[in-house]
Amino acid sequence: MKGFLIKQALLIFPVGLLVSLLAFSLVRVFPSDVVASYLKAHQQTYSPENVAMVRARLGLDKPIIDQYFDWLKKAARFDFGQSYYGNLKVSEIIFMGLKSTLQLTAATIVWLLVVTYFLGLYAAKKPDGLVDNISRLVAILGNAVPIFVVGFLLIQIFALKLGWLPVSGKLSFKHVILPSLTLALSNICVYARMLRNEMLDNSKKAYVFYAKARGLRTSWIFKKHIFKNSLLPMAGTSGICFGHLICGSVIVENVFAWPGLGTVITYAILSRNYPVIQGYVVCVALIFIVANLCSDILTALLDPRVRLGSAP
Amino acid sequence: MKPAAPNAPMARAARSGRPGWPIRITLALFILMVMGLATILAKYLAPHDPVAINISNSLAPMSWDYPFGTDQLGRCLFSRCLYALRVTFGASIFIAFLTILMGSIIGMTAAYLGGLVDQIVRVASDALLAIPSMIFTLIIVGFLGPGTQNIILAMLIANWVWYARVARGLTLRIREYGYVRAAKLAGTGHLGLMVWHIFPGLVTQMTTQFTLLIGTMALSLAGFSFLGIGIQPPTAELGLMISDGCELIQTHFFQMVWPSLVLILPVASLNVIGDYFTDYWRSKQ
Repeated sequence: MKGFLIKQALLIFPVGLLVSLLAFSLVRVFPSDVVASYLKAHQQTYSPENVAMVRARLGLDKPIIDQYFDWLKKAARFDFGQSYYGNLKVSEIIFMGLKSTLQLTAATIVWLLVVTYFLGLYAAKKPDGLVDNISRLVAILGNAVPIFVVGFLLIQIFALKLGWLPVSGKLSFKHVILPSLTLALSNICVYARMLRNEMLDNSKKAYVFYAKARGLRTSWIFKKHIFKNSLLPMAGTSGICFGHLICGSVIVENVFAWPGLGTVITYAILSRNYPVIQGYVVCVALIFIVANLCSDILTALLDPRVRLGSAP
Repeated sequence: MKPAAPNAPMARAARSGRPGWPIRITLALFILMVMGLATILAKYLAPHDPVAINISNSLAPMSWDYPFGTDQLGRCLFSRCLYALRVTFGASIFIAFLTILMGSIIGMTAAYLGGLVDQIVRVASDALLAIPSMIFTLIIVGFLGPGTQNIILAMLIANWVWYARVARGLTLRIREYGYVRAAKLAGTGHLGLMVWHIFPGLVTQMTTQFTLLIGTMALSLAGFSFLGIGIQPPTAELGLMISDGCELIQTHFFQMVWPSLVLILPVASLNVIGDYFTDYWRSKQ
């Protein structure tokens, strides 16, 4: 297990290198004209002398290998240059966005944990019961309704009709409730179903039979024995779940005007702000690698079978 | 072991009322059939031109002439929904099919050939899987620029790798089966072995994945349209129509509801069918 974790941790370097190559080369490979975007952003005309000036400023006149290493040296220190718009450093923009996005994600995870726990537990207690059918319906809808529709419906109900919560922006604690709920809803269905299925599978196993034979109460067996064992696969997918949350947050942030990474990248794409996109690629890839590593470590911590090397 | 008849659930449907053929499948198939017909016959069913602007008739209420009313520019919402259904699901089926085909062929070839090719595909897929496909699509569109062709290309590049992985795992298993070895002994060439003996073994799995992927692709397309980096207006596309409707949610609630329903119903039906078959094949194994 230790070897596996070290291998996973060491994987950061090749994957990071590959991602950096990707971030760097995409600008060169695809028919996107960096100089034109730069000139447009600075409201200058597309004349030969301007083009030459910009090429020199961006270092485009050097050989491509040199360009890559220059870029990589800076990228390793999270220096992705200046944004084309405004007088901001890309790293500052990314860092501010990342902070907001992580706040949103954290709030979402709270929703996820609480609702998944109750929905999964009660659905598993009575298969085909009321809660189970509700969670099944939520799962079907949650996988079919676009996330921005959910967001607008929640705004309509809780912010405009009832007036309990603010519509959008990021000013107080109240502002985080609706976006995080929207983001959680589409994931809750998946995880509640997963927990329920895991628990039903587990309840047929021998250790449950043994616990019953020992005369333990059914509710106790459910909460202590079955539930704990069902958490393992969930911990294993927590890295992927985090990925889903970051993906979903791109749209949710746009619905609620939440100033996170999602709004940053959308504006960057629409305005062809290449340094910001490059910074975003590297930053997001690193987050995912770390998240996957954390979920592996979590699984190992929770399950002695994985930790000691005998596969479950 | 006798291979399972591929139409076993269908046969069971004939003797309906038996467990194993839930009512939700019938319902889902019915919805898909109606939507499919609507897509094919859009030209005859649509009462108006989907892109004909008539400002004097903007935001008209529902009527016989305009079954869903009209949008902000006075375009018939019902006709737009019909054509948008065609665009959205046409594009998603196209992307899903190519993604699965590409993934299957690359995964199968890599697993069959083994060695260096397999290693390269594995390392590449590990690196690609480090980034979720939606973010990857976003990034590629970021460099290509927004637009219909670009979004389709980006979604293809971002998604095939998941299916290559599935196909690779399956091929490794199928390769060892008796009938494949027998065919090899009988002197079938590499290509023949892959096309006639290994690929059919992938089809069942991949069909299920395909069913689920269409819905996912339709939803992502809608999401990208909402962000403004997908299919561009004035094309009638469900995601664009929904996001237009969302802006009017306070005053004209149904502007958003109709296109949403047209998107949600088929996607939900596809998911129900896909999940059913996933469970079905899992219980078979």
